[in-house]
Amino acid sequence: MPSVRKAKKKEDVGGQGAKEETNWNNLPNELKHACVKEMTIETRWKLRQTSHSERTLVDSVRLYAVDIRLSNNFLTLTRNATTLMIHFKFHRSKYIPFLVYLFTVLELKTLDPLKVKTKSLWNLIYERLPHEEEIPKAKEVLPIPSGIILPRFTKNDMQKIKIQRWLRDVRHQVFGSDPENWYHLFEKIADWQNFPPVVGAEIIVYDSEIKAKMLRTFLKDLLGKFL
Amino acid sequence: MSVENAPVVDVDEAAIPVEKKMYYRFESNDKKEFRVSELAIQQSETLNRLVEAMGYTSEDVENKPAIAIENIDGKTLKLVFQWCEHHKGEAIPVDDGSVPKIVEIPEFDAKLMDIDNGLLFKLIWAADYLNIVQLLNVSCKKVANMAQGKTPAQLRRVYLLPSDEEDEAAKRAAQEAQDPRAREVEEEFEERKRQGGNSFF
Repeated sequence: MPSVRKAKKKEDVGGQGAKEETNWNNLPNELKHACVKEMTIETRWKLRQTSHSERTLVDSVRLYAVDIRLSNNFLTLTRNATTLMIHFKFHRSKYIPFLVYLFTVLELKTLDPLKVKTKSLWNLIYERLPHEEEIPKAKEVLPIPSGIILPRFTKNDMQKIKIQRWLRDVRHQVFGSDPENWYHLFEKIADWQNFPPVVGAEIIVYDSEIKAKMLRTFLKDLLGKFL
Repeated sequence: MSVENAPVVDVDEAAIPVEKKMYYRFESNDKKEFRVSELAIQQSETLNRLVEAMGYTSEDVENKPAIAIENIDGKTLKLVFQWCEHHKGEAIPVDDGSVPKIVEIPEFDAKLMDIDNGLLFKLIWAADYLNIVQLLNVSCKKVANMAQGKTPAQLRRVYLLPSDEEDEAAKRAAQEAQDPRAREVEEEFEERKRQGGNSFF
């Protein structure tokens, strides 16, 4: 009788030879890897906290991103159509392990050809890409530039993107304090077309050769000033 | 010659050979039989190669025994073939090493995968075994979505993840099962270490 024999060394998929319950733990590493690849950054981060074996797994999966911008108060990470914004104005030190993880697994697809080297000590590790307009680092609230721009977020996407906290911070400057207006603003956000460039932020190009320890020192230095 | 002046030829439609659709027969490891169209089989690289190599004719398909898929049960195989039939003729995604594409779960797939976790993991395994790229993509996406918005404690429950201690205990048990003397050697080593010996040997 013709048959599809065991081409790969695997257990049966269900049936008589299979274990009672097939679950995540029975999956071979390559399939777990494929699942983690589909997870969002937040989910990966949470899964990483469950056990050492999951941490090893999550750390072995690269994270593709188009662009990352780290400023003194927040980080934006653009992956395909979505942009994640993490605001770490408060409890900065709590974000250091997360940022170390992020930079360690990151695979950037930055296309900006204008890399200008400065005499910074961190040139050994990073290349800084200065923007046209610089704002002082100590400035806590970033203005939204004219000609407002956001991706085509749906209401559900808004849940995923940590933009609310940032908008809450700028609402008094830009939109006034009326809560009604504020509610309508969220409605409008779905129709905005592009994402606001983070004025004064730097693009940090991660060098895969860097050791996690050096990265941790750098981030502590960058964020620690504002603790 | 203009189109109007072209001679009209009566065609006997019954005389034109109509290519019959071929349906292959497969059997799961719990002896359930499935009939799957040739086009649907193309979604699976493994099965497609197999049927190509066998070179069955329509008669062979009917007369010879069903092709046994020894590693997959009937429940899982039913889902796999339902998926293949629905997506037959669609292009198979190719991994070109560039930026990974965003995987979206179509409505049909979402309904198909509205199953318990055990079956979902079996489906992933089957998709990988049969090399059905897109089914593997959507099922992995579904597993990833299951974790969306969950805390680490909730994730442990969803994926039935063992804690570090349970992991260690399982590893030890597996090691002992493999080599019953390992524990004795380990205990002897610990004992010697307590006694201050530098070397085990």
